[in-house]
Amino acid sequence: MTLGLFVLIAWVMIIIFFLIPKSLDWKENMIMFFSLSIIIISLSTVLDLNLKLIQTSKKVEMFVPVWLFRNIIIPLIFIVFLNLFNFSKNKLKKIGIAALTIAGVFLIEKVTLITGIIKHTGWNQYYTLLTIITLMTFSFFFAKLVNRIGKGAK
Amino acid sequence: MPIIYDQEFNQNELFVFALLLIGILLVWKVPKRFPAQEGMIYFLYSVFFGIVFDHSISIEPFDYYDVNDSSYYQILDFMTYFMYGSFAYLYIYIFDYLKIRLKYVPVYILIWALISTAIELLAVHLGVFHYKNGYMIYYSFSIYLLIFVPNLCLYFYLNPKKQN
Repeated sequence: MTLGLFVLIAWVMIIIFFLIPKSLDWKENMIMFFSLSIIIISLSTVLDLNLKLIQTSKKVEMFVPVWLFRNIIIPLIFIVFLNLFNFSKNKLKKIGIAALTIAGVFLIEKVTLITGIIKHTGWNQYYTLLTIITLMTFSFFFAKLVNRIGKGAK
Repeated sequence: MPIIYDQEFNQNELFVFALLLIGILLVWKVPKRFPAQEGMIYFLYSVFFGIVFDHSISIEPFDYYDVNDSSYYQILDFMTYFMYGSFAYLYIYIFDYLKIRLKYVPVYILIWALISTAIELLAVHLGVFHYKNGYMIYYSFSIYLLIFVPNLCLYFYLNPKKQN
């Protein structure tokens, strides 16, 4: 059931990504996806393996859900955020998009906790919130830099 | 329990720094053939896949190998993945420079997979990778064969006019 659920969530995230209006072009989206994934995967390994603040399930049947959660779902949430945030001109909408992104990550995290994919062993929701805000800020400024690099090359 | 292989600054660190430096210098110095963003994509593609594969099969439940001095994830491990970046950039760069025809693509991929495997063998010998639980070099060879294909697909996707 967990596998099916996470395949469904990953599928929904991919569909959402393809359907939303995009403020970044394909090259910029690729660069952002690769960069965010590199950071998210490294961060999750440090929190699990080194600091043991989060314990990821070591069961073989949980391997694919963990893989989808870490490599597809979470990076795509931030990519969707970035595209919608930059696309929107209204400040209130921007705040709403940021709030929805935070709520989305919390919701997915809750699902991972309920299904036993991850277990908090010293980690808490405030750390999650801090991590989300840091990643949102990083992705926002890095996307601007990537955009500038692209314009400079033209 | 974490495994500590060594705690000295020795051959594995030197190998990573040397390859990283040579790779970045090469990427920097060769005449530009791609727009900056496209070059970034080729570079990051490999770093991304390196991290995805390593952080999938080198941790539990598989735990097939450790990278560098211990089974923990260290800064040097993170830097190791950036070695792959310049390697992938040069893979596409040479492909574009030589204007290789589609019928020779399998040979080109095979040559690069063999070169990558040889470099990995050297890295194993120097203590960058420590195989565990029955992992063997030819598993890496098959991963390289797999990785180099979408890399070229990405190149053709970004340069549709170059599909000769």
